[in-house]
Amino acid sequence: MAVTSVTTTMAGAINYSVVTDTSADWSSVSNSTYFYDKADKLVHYKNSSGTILEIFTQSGLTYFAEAQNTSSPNATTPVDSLTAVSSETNADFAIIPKGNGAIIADIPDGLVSGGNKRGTGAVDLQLSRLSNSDVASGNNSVISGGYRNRAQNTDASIGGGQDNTASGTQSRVGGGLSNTASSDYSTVGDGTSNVASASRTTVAGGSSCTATAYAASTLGGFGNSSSTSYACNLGGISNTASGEGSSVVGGNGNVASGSYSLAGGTSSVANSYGSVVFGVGGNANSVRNRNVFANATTGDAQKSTFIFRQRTTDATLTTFTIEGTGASTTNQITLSNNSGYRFKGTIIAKQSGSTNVSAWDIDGLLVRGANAAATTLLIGNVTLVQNTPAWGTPTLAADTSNGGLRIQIQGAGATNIQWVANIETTEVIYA
Amino acid sequence: MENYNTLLIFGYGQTQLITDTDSKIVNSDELLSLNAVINDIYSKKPLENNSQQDYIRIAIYNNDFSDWVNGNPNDYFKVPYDELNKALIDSLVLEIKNI
Repeated sequence: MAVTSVTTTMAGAINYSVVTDTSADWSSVSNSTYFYDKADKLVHYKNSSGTILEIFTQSGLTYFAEAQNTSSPNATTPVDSLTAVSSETNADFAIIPKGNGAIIADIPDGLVSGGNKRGTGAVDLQLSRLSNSDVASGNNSVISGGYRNRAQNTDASIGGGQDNTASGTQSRVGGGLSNTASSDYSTVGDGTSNVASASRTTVAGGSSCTATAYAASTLGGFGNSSSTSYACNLGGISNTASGEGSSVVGGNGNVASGSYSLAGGTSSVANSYGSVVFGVGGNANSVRNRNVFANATTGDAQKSTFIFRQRTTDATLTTFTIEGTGASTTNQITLSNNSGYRFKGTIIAKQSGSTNVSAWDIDGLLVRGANAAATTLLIGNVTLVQNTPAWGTPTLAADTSNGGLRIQIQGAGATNIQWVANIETTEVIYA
Repeated sequence: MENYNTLLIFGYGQTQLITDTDSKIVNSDELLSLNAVINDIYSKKPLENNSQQDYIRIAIYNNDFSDWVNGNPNDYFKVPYDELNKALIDSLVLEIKNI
């Protein structure tokens, strides 16, 4: 321990007059004195009150300590660190660029090594690139890590992974490999080769899955496509949800192409509005609201349920259809070529504002040959359950224009009646 | 160039055209220009892919890519849109619109 008086005369510098060996000597230094301490190699000032004021700190940092760690496992690749050393128990650590600057882990050089200039306010911590454009180039975009990732639009982000692209505004790829979120608010969570390419689409994971229309989503699986607005695939393989608001719940090779249709199982085709098809190889055959369960190859062995709903206001003989409009191939029990249908069901009708109600049971057998004209009703029974109001008895016939079953109903004059039918069919197709 | 979003060709025998305002499903056997599009896509299959020319779904995403799905993940393949014959696709889209 020693306190030594010296004289320094360095122009433009702080000239100290005392040298100490260690901080233990500082109490011996006179007030209002600059002094140099050999231990910390810094100049200090002891003011008129005897308080030691720090003029400099090591490395020019007051609140951080730098260090290098070469201990195992860091012998080969040492860790150089910067540690907050606040006197408080806890201290945040902020890295604050100036103005519109970005926070980056490489210095942009326009080359693969440093990449292109980052977007304003971007955060790009990715250290490996294959191209100079593998950077967070969008304003306020983020790449947290990974390899060959690109966040190319405002607020786009990529968590990690490889070869991912977030190119829509506020789009996001969590990770995985070769995923693309290319429209605004689109998301790919993970997986491989997934594409969310329309606004507000989501592919959560899986492989080679797509969500390509507004607000469509695919949860996962392989090769699943949600390609119309609000469509959804939950999983499975090679499924397609291509009707607005349609869903495939899983399975393999299912198609829900009708609006608001639902398919599952294997090779099910729900290709009409509101149709539901499950099992193996079922086909709604474009008839709306049809519920199918099958063990089939393209509809050749299946059962269906049809719900008809229609209103009458007079005594006109009316063809009963599923949604109460003019008869067509899509709103009746329409057969495929070379098929036979056994059907059973109930027709019920109720008057508005009244307790008048009538019901009939129906059953029959219908066959269709090579075309619609070759449709024949072999059996068509209508059995009265009750018809106190004396409305017209429903009739059954072959519809040789549309190739199906024609049901006709007859209400009463100036009477509002709602008619409902629940009909089940057992179906075979065999050419 | 015809305007559309997605063209879906299903193995069970229907083809669906999706635009911003419409979704149209037609029977594939009515489409005279369909096979040329299918053949064009299949001809661009990557050499290492062993997919046969059967399919559950062929999708064409306008200006993006086409993918070929037959239920076997190993047979799945994609073709970039730039490599597809746009004239054939235009003909098919127009034919569907006109049905």
